Amino acid sequence: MFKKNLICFVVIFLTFSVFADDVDSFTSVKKRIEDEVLPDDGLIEIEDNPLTVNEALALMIPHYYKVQYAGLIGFMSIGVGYTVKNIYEPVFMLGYLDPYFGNSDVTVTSFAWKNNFVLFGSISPDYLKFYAGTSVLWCYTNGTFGKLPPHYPDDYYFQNRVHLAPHMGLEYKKIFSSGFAKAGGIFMEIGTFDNYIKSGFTNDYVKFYDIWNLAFGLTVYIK
Amino acid sequence: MKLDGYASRFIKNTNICLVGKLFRILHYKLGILILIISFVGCDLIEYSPFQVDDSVAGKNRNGKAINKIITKSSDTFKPFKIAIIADSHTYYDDLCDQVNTINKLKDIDFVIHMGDFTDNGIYKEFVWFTEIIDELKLPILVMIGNHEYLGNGEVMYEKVFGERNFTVIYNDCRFVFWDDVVWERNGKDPDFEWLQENIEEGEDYSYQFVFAHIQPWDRQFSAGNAFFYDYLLKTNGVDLSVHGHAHVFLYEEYYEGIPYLIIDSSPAREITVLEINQDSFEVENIAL
Repeated sequence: MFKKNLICFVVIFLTFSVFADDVDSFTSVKKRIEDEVLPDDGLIEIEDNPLTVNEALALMIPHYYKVQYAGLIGFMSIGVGYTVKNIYEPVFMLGYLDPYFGNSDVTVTSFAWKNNFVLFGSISPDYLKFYAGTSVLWCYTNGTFGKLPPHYPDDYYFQNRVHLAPHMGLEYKKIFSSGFAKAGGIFMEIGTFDNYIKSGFTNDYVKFYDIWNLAFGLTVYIK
Repeated sequence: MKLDGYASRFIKNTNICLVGKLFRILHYKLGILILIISFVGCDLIEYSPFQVDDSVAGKNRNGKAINKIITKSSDTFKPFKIAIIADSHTYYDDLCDQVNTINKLKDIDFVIHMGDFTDNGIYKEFVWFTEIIDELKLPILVMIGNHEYLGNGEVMYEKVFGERNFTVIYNDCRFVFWDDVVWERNGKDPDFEWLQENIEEGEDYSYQFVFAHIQPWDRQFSAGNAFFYDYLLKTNGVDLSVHGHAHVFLYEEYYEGIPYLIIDSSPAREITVLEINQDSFEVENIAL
């Protein structure tokens, strides 16, 4: 049942992304983003000339900042993100959970490298985008290890600090005509976790809807 | 003043019109939202796979089970049977079948799980396990295993099930549950002092059984600890030592003197029933 649900979900997801009306093709989206939304700083062209130090540093300036609630990377998380060729959006988030900040008896510090790929979106008058990807999570808390402690025999456990967390999300982006930010966005994501997917594939008991969780957040696009 | 300017522009640009525009755009995309929501059950918000939260999995489950068990207990010995399972890990389908089979068995007084009911000690594994054992019609006592020490499983275990070492007296028999995990506690020796104190009190009972997740001849035990464990059992009137961990079934006097019983894991698709009579006890495996 889990496998059938997953296959159905992927088929519906892909079908929708191909045939949905009022959805621009990626090419036109990209062109319109460059023309209307990101006229100045969408891409930094790297030609034959080597980069100066300042130009290299400029590449590292985040394109936007994010604040996220829940989503397996802590009670709250903050991070920065980039847009690469208008389709790939790497986001780096730092999340925190403890007794006072999320009502958990333990402290968990998480670092997430979210690899978002924009699947489709429309621009006018504002921008709604649908994206999906996989996060790489580093979870620091009691009893997690990247390398097996020396008192264990080799291969006794697989490392449990780094995990994969697939997700998909929907973001509504509002362009600001003036102000300190170029645009603001609100987003919602549904995500899952590698261990949950494994349990879903190996058990009928774990249903397709059991493995998902929600996250909400805000994005501030800077000029 | 500058801040006020930013604030007023921000409010102007994000006023209720934004909500209206969002809805206008979203109504084309309502299908997406319905699709997403239809695949999502309850329990949607999860801060971390390693979070500790007993709001769904429950609190002090062993304490509640002990209260149910002792209400049926008598002061003098009466024959009874218990069902024992172990190492269900994330084999949830096999565990469900074990639960269904136990529910159909007659004359079982309570159930014991020998530990390792998770793979990684993560929150969701506790939730799924407790959902399944809630289907049992009998009280169940759940021990901690080495896998529950991964992540924040130890803290989660103590929240959801209670103390790691505990005793139960039922029909004039003493059941001693002892946490003997070593490596996952960074090589710290098990609490032999607690074990000795508690099995010394059990000599006057009709039977005394010790339950510990790891068998003493496992690699986690040093030779000295294995010898000391067996010595304590022999000198304090223990009748049987029960374990999980090894994913095999074994019932023999491993060191000569005390019988050792190892319960197989859930994929073996069997349940071990311990029948305790006045003169002896018997071990039987029931296939699912």
